[in-house]
Amino acid sequence: MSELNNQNRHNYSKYDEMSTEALEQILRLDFGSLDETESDIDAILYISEVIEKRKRQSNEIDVDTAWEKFKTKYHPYTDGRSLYDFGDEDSNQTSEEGISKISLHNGRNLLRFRRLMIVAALLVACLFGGIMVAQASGIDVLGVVGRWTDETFHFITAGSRELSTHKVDSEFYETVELTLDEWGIDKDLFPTWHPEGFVAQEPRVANLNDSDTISVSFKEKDRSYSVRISCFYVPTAETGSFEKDDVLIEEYLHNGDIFYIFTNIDTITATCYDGECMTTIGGSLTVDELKHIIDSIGGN
Amino acid sequence: MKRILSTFVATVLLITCCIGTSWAASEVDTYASLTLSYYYAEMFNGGKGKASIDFSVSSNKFVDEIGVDSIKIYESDGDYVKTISGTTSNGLIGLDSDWHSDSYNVSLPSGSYYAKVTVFATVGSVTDSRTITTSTVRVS
Repeated sequence: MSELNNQNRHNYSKYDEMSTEALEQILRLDFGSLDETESDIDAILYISEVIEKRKRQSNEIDVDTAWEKFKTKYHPYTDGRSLYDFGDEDSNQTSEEGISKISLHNGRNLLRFRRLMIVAALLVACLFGGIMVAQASGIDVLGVVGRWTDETFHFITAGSRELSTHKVDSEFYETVELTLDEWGIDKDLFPTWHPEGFVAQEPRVANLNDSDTISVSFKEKDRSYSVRISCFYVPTAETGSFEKDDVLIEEYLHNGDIFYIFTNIDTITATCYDGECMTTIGGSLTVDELKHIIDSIGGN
Repeated sequence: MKRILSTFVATVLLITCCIGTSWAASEVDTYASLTLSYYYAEMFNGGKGKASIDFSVSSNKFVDEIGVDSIKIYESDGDYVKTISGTTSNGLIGLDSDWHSDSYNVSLPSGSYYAKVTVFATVGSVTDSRTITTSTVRVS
């Protein structure tokens, strides 16, 4: 390639001001010309050098321009903190002009959202568990729901249910059953079994404005318990309150009826309300004795 | 979005706390009893010029005294009317028993009334009592 002396470069300076596309057109025209005498080799070389220089320059990265572009369009902070710094937002902003803070912190938002969802899921699970416990303790299968606090127990709604008949041998059983028949109760509600050593006392009856009650007490040497059946004229939510301690209430199912068993310091009580009659067994009994008494209702 | 989630979490937490607390439905004291096991009291219209107060009190043991210590009558607006004290003579108290239940009539002028019935049971030197407020009844 011939070298262009300064004088010739000066003559070709006009090409420096022409666009790259125009210079390339000149080259194409020269290449396509059939008359070789018209071709200015030096000019062609000059033009080629200009074009080549321009292409090299367009491939070079302007570092400063690129850095400015990054800071304005991609970098979320102006104070140089890491993108992975999820700490509390620093109220101190840099004073660098022309830089705006990008408000969307995708990584931190996603983590917070995930944590909140986990907490919400745990709380929903606790809520659901509480509802299940509540249903288990108060499900209105028979139309009767027992409600209790740590101190008292009572029935709050009424339903109705009938028990199957059976036969028995228990002192005063017949007396009680006849009395219930007189009250229009055709269910077998009185237990047919009592623990050995206990002696039944004479039944007692109370006739109130909204209910009739028959009670039989059983006495042993140092212990006693009673069986009391109260039948209400109409289903009611007001059946009275039972004292209890903070031991959990046990639901004991017998012949389709739920007996709620709970303790009151040194005694134990089991009670069932079928919407018509409330049967209560309570006194100085063991849990097994109490359940055996319950199981004997209906002749089992 | 964050505010909505926070509100939801707070609501769920509040509901969970409510379900976990006591379902108190009785106006009784807050401890188990050594002498009392069950009690009930209610007021009814007892006919012309009368109110009838039912009560049923039981213990899981044979106690020295059991029944009604007092019946305080109030007008429906809360004005005090009178008190009936329980005795064995008027049938409000039973002796050496595990259960006492009856219906007691009170003479009252026409109006609406309710009663606060205090029941009790005594074993030796230990006496426990509870007060039950009846519903309001119209006496004609």
